[in-house]
Amino acid sequence: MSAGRGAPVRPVAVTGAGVVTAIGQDLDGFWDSLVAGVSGISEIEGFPVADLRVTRGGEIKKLVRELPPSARPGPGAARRLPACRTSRFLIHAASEALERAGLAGRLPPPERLGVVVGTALGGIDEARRALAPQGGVAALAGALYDGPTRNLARWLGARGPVLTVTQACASGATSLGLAADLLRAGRADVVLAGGGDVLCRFVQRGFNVLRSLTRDAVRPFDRRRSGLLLGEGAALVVLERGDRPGAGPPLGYVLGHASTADGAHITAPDPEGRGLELAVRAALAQAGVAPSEIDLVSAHGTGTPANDRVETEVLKRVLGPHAGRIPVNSIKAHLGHTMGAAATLEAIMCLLAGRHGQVPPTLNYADPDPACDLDYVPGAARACRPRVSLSTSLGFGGCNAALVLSSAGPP
Amino acid sequence: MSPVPRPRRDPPAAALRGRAATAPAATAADPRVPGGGADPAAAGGARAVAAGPAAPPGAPAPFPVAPRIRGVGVVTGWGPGVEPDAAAVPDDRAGIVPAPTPVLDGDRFRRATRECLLAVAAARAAVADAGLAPEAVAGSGTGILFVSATGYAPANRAFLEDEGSTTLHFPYTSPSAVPGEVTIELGIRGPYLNLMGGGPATLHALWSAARWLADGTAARVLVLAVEVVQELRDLFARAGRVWAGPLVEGAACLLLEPGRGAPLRWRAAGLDVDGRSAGAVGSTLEGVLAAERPRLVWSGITAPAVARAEQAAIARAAGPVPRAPRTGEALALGPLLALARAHRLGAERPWLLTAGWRSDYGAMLWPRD
Repeated sequence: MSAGRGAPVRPVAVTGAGVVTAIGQDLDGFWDSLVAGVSGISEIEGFPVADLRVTRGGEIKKLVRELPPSARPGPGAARRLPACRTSRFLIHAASEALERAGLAGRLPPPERLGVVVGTALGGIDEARRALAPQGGVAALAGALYDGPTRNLARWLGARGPVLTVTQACASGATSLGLAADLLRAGRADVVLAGGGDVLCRFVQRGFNVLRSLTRDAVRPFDRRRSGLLLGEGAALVVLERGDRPGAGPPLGYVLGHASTADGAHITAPDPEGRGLELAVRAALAQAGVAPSEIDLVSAHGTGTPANDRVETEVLKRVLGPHAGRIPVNSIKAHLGHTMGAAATLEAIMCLLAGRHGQVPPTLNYADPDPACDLDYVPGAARACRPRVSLSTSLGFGGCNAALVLSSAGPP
Repeated sequence: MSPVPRPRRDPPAAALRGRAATAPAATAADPRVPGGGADPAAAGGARAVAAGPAAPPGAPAPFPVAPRIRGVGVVTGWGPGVEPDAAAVPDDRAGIVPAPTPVLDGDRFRRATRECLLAVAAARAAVADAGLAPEAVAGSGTGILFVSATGYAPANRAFLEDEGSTTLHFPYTSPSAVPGEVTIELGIRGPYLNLMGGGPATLHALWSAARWLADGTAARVLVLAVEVVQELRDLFARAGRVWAGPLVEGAACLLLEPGRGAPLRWRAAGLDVDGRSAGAVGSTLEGVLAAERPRLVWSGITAPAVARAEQAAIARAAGPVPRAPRTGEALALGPLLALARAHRLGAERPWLLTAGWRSDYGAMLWPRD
């Protein structure tokens, strides 16, 4: 990762993307549901929740899509799919991303293939099995934070840089920035980058205890907003320098990225958003993009009172009057907060918006809050073709991240 | 915002200039080109490496200049200082060299986990060792990188096993709580990166720190690692085949500033799952060693087969080198402990550090000034 008060850097091409979410288990399904305003929030069935205050989330009931045979990696790769759900989500997303990049079955040499995964929970899905008295060593290794990343790398047979980023709910943005750095430094030719996390009792109970979850709908930026709901999923992009012979047109480019610390509070954002503001300004500087060039902001937009107000204020400070003239959306009411996957899903949404000429709405936004006075794309999708997008993310521990992306336009 | 589709316009000039497929020929004056640019501060000493013809699109960036170690902070069970206490390292592969739990002033730390306390203590010590007041590192000029293989696991385990955990406990299950407490303590708002893994991840963090310092992203950087394993003793004992101990726990922090010397060199390789690792280790080391005759200050390898391959590769490339002191497996802490020790002792450079974690192997050459 490089933040950047230094000179702008070379853009990195996004040549493929793949997703697994509660509203779609491939890119097309995901996009169609975003635009149509489909919500993936439902009663949680995968683990006991009867004793919890909030029992809903963006749960993936079943992984329905079979991996195409062509997505099977080379002979050096692991043959069996891991049991860990996070790993399975990642592998499904990776197979789609590689297919769309034209790399299925045509991976680069293993030592030139990198993997960077952002996660808020790592292999927590395996932790209960690992802690059982007879828990096996495999479960123990899988329960570590880098367990799912390792499983994905093993499935791919990747022997280049394999890194696990954990910056809570901003992880999926930083992973893209870090992957771009690896490519610029020549340390890999192809990097699968993104994030993934599962909805499980561990995190559902934790957010319940914190009383961050709402029993109402998730209402980003709305006056009635009362909290978030959790979700799960995975999102990965194929990043390349853009010089591969025979590669098709990219989905877009990562122009800039920055991650910063708040230095303010373990769970709450800095009330003044100073860290987030620094991240946005640094990402714009690295991208070589002026605030007036931003066409779309994909906000973190959790639907919590503090987050949405702080984000709004930061956008107004950095973008000036331009902030009021562009769409600012949040897709967390569609998906729930998918934690490690969230920022990558939002980055993909930005690129798809540029490709399709539509910006998905912010669901459940109806009652404007005087403290949140931007254009949040209420009601329905907006016909608009953003060329340059800004995506913002925040996380526990005072993490902030910003991505600047350029859409390559219609195919 | 108009609901009407906006007319297409050109992407930002920055995107076009850097896009390989459409970019005009790069020139040495282009600050985007590694080694180019007119601002020495932007490119640092790394420009010397890339001097010559303009880099073609997609060409690797040069290695960043090795940072200057200005301060070190170490909290381990070895006692005060950075010298490993071989006597404290048990022979038992499942043994642990426990770190003392720091006692820190301030009500804020009442609920903080042991890993957070260790981190804050090490960071405070590094800043003090650098001769700086805590206020000097506050703000956006200081970056922080945090690395750990286990620095969240006790809190995660406690939350999993104790359904009665309190409100304040859950946030501390997030690894980002550890550097979070450090940034709050010191008022740091600069660039930030957390990596989970063992020694190779620490080498990556050092590389990132060097880049931040070289390109002006940060004026100084704290590289922090924390490992806590006492609360996981039973699990590590069960997983002895995976983690060959004894394990060292504690925290280490380096305060780095821009350097002026030669580039920091680093190679990483994935190891074969079927044990054919010698080739990867050899080629990685050869890439790092080149004509240097480094002092091995840290060997993070505990797997015997890989360690033998490493020793053979070092002997081929650089001749016999003294073994690093026996310390136990310090996971992500290892490279920082080694650099802290070599710095304090004024050991002659270049320094060689190697590290292994699960299926990764890495080697770093910290060059002469």
